[in-house]
Amino acid sequence: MAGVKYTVMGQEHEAERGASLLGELRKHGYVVPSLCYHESLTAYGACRLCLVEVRKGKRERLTTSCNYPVQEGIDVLLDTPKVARNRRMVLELLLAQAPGASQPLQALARRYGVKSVRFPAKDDEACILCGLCVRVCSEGIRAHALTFSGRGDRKKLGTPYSEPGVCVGCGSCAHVCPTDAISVEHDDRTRRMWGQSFELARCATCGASTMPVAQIDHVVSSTRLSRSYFELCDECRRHQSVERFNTVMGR
Amino acid sequence: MARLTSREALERLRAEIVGRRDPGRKAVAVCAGTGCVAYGSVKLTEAFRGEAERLGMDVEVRPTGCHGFCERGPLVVVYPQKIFYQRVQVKDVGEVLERTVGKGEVIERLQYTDPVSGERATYEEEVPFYRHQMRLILGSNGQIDPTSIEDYIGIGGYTALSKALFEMSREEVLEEVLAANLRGRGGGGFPAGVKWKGCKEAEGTPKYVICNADEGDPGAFMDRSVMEGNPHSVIEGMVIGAYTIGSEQGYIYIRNEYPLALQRLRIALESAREHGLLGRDILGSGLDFDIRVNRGGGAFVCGESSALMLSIEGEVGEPRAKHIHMVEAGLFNKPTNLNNVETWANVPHIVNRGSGWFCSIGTEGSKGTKIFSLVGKVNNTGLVEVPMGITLRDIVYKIGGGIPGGGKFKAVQTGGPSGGCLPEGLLDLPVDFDELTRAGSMMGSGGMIVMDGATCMVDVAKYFLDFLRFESCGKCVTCREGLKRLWEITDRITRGEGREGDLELIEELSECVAEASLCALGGTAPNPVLSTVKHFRGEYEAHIREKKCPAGVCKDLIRFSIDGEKCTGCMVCKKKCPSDAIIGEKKKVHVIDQSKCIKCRVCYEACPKKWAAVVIS
Repeated sequence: MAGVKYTVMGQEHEAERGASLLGELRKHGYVVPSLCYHESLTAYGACRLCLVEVRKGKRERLTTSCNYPVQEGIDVLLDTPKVARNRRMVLELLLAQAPGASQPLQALARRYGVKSVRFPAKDDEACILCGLCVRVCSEGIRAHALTFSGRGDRKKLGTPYSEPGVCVGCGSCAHVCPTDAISVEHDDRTRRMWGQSFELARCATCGASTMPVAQIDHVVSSTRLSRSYFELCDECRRHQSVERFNTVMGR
Repeated sequence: MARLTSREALERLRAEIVGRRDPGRKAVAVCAGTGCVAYGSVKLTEAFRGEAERLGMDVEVRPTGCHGFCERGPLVVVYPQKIFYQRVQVKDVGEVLERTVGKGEVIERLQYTDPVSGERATYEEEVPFYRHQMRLILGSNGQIDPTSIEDYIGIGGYTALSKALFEMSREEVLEEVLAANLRGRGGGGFPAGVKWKGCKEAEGTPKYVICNADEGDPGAFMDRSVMEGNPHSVIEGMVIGAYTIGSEQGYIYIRNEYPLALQRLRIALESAREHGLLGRDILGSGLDFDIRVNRGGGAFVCGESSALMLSIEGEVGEPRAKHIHMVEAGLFNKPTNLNNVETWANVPHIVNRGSGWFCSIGTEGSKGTKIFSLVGKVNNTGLVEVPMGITLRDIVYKIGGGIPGGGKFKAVQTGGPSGGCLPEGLLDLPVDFDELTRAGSMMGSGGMIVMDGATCMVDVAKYFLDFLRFESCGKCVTCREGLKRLWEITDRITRGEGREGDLELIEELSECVAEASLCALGGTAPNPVLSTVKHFRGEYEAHIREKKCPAGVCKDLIRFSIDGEKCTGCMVCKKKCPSDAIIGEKKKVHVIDQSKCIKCRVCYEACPKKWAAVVIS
């Protein structure tokens, strides 16, 4: 297909028109930090870490690369003094906002030279409002169980109207969270998250707990997979497949 | 009313309306803008009607759109002489009818008196507030009843539409708007013609046109007054735009906090439909176009075009990156042209009178007029429309009448909450999109707040940061967290907890908020704090180093006391003090008990000016 040609610090590349610049940069091995980008989800541009400078004709602008569609003839500059300066400030703001955030943020801050945080950090908040969980829940799982409410510095992540509701307990939100801000508690029979308790299904063969019943219901109703597919745990399903294979092959 | 199915039918109706009207007819026009309504103009209108009936007088009592001089409301104009009265009360009604309407006499008491020259004005145009204005867009407000399409047609309404539809090709209309260099009045100043062209040429259907009526700046009411006072001018502009671009569906996105504008728009849309000026086959030209009204829920950020479109779609109003322009993929991902109320209202004038005429007004880069809501510490607050290029000084002094109480001018903020505060030294700047931006402020949608010596610039910066940190959509870290931190720093400074390095941190953080945020809200939000740090650095330093607020505003840094040499022991302050902090007896010097004082300023304002014994230090 016809692509667009662009350069990264003079180096020529070609990409599909409209592709995410960040995705392209990473494909070519350039290191650009980000916390709110996932290649399978719509780019959101919240964390402002993937800043680059883009030169297009005479215009030069600072922009996030995740939501920048690659365009013909642009030249991309990484880690310029302007990018570095702004990125450091973004990291400082993030550290102050979410002192409870896990390692990746701390590591980025060290890597990009944040020496101290000049803003008061009061609690052990971990969420940086990057919206990955909201997007994976709506675009990936299609459960639409998470949303932002409020705006400005009162913006909050939660379930719609702060009520337990349509969450299916799949845990994808916690899986994609870059700062380990989403709490999922487990025991043998239940999973608890977003104020709801989810009964876990059991493997018909070995009795081990598998996934939330609500998640199975959601997947069965929204895909063509049959319910019987979820009767076994992963381990037993593999065994069953091997056995079937052996039977077919007459071993 | 039968639908008008041709240009000739519109002209016949117009001739009939004009013929019905006797230019010598006696009429009383009462301003029914929001300001005058708040002053009681609805009751006043009823009183005029009741009294005229009681007296058996043949006089038309007509509620009109906003006249702009809100400070002096309720405003009344008596026709045919056009005698202008201000601050008219119900008790004045009988006298106005008997003397002015009946005998043509002027009642001096109700006339406007210029506080500077002491001269009385009989007609609107003699009032300095109006004399220095150029009221292209607002001019008709006072002549028409905004709920009457006949009034609008009677003064030439919808002639521009019929000219565009029957005399001009779509390309010719576009050429005219391009040549007029009509720049967006909503804040950005982007040339409307370029947007129209982009949308007209964009691939994909349907195409949408939108009127952005989500005017959210604190203290701004330009668009509200246009919609309340002359809603058809906006509708006419939109239909012309739709014809040019090739759109069949328009939207007006209006904030729900504008009930009167909403009501008048709806009446106007309905009557335009009934008259065949909206809907199918407009004036028999074959053009189909209609307009839907969407109400905003009060989020400032929904005035940003991409957030506005998401809001119409039913999504959360968060701006998105515009690397692909709205004219190519906007509302519902279709080509969309958005302009604000005032921009649309300019279009009929440009079509009627031509781009050459339009370009004869204004400066090299900014053509036509601009409406400002002039508020704050200025004598004549209200709505003013001026030719581009007029200086800020002329607006503040000639139109605004200067600072009340002989106070000293300190700063003027243009452009709403994200505008910059400009000091005395920049008062000779012309009103021009580019000049204001270069000076660290912006045209914005037209808010203009005048501040005097009693205004603390740190406090002002804090106020706007407080507004913006709540009104940011909260998506970008830089805007959400950055504005919160900027507010925290200014808050600390006003509480006397400022430190060395704070100003440098403000500058460093402001750069990041402005440079690294996605939309124009973040991009311009640091303007008030940056411009005040730049022009009033000494005031910040006084707060930080000396823990003093030179303007006497920041409560934690000031103390009220009574000058024993000036106090006459009149007890006025003591009686008014809400916290019993004043000790004293009649004819004995009073003292303020600092442990009880809540710094409410009541004593300062209560002490008779001739003594001025309460001092702030």
